[in-house]
Amino acid sequence: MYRYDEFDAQFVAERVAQFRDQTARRLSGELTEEQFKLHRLMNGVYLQLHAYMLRVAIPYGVLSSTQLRKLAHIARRYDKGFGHFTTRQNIQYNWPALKDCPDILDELASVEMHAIQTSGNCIRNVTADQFAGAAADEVADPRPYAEILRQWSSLHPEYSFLPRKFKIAVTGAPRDRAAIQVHDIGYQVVRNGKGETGFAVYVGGGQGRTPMVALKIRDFLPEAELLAYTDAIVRVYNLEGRRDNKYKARIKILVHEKGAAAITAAVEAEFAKVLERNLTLPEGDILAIQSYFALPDLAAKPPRSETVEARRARDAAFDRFVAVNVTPHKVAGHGVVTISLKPIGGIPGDATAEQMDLVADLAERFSADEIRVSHEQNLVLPHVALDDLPTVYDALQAAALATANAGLVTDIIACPGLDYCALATARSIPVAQRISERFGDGARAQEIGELKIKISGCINACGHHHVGHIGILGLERKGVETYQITLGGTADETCSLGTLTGPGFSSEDVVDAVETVVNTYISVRRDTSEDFLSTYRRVGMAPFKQALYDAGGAGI
Amino acid sequence: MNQVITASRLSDGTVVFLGPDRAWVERLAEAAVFVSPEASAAALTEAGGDERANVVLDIYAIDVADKAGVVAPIKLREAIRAQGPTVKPEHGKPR
Repeated sequence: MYRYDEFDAQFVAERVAQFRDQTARRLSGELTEEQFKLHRLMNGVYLQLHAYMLRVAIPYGVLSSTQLRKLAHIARRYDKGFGHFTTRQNIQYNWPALKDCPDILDELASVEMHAIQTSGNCIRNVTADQFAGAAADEVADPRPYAEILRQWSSLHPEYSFLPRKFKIAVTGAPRDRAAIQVHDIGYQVVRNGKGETGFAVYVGGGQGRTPMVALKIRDFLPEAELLAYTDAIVRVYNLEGRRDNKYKARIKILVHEKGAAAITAAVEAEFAKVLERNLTLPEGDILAIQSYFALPDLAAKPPRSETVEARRARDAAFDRFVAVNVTPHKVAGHGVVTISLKPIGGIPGDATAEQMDLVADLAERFSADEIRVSHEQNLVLPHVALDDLPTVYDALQAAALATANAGLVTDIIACPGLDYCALATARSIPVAQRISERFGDGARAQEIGELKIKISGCINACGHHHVGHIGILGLERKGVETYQITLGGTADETCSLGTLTGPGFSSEDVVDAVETVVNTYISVRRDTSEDFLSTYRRVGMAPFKQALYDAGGAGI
Repeated sequence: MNQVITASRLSDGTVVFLGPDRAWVERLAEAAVFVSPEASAAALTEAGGDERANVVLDIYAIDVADKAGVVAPIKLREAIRAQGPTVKPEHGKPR
């Protein structure tokens, strides 16, 4: 993985020192909240419902064991013993004291981490496929490009005060696990007919109160022109994006108001000018960054592990874990292991300090010292030899981390909602917990198959409800929580936004409503091979709507 | 509508309420309840001095009702602020 050079280290250390001084001046009263707020937000410190919240950047979701141990240490020493992994592959601490934040940032700097650009109208943490560099289906590792974008965008003087925040995602595989079509810019690594590496370019996707699927404005952008093209897009946005209305300030509004032809023309015109300034990536620089992300030295093994097969034959729970949570690796005899942070009835994305320490230990012993955070709020051990799976599984199970539900109905994304968030209009986590308990960990969840439920506690859509196969949006109506349901959304390569079923449901009724949707799917699917999304796309909304609202359904 | 004055403590963000002796208290049960809009407005103005003195921030009044002898916020958001996350009561305030 990428290691800081002397400039990176010095820069981060200086920022911590500046923030220490700013915090001291705030606590002494020298700075007012109005003066201080911008500084704290630029260092990831928010004020939430119960306390301050610190959001720490995890670049493209990649962690070393040392870094994860540090995150555990911070949870234990400065928080209440846990952290919350987010839909942007970051971690949030819910209870730090303001006076401790400079010390936390010092601790983070000691393991080459920080909280810069995790807030504000700048280019945020660049996200990527959590299986990057390991997945059998990838064209190329997206992380070097995400790292190049991170370096270029960090404190970019022209782009520190954009009209609104700006999010870039990169995938290296045709199967999109990084939700690139609901980002401001999405890059997909592709090869052209000559075998050259480049990118398909998507722009103007996003969720929030005005969800939009990105437009594809380039089929093939040569690798060397990545920064020039990004510069062109962000410059057009910086000049033309609206600053008069916060709710119309994201690039998606500009892109969709201008239309594909006009936005493409504007970006291409700017791109030609940028190329004149010679902002091309030297091949040597690309290779140097790629060398940080070289595939670990994994000895090729037989694709079938007798150790694993023997255990699977006698242990149904292990068999299910391997079937559901282990994905093929590009090196034979290895697997990519998803560690679910969605125990049945648990809080999606939460991990205790002890769990983080355990995962760090397992990564050190069995996964080339690497951990990933997924935007679906799980952790990943990317490089596990199949022969080691029984040992890894046993250790995970002992720490309540072996729930075999990756991609299933109980693998729910949920934002913090009204339990923590100052912006929320309703709770998200308790709804996720009740749905999880309703469907459980047994045969029923497996019988339902792949089904992604995503829950947001307000229209800002941090819980990605617009792209849930079943999306749930929590709102407040006359002082009471109410939940709208959408169907048919997905953030994969066939990206689509969900459609509202109709009137919302009370907190008491929403889990029944979800179960009604699931039962309807089971009754209309052709067979078990037709997953929820395919079934919905074939039959449409009608049978679901009928089941929910006719015959005295639960709708209010 | 009866009201209570609330804010966040500057040093750690803890939710606090204005007490009867104008000190900030952590528990809603110990908060001063203002029974008229005038009293509430006057308390809010006075409490503003603590924002300028950098003791607390984001001071505002919330509506409360008497529920079986216990002061309870009308809005769910304020009930959660007063008590802590409903999903982790052990991290919230003692009842």
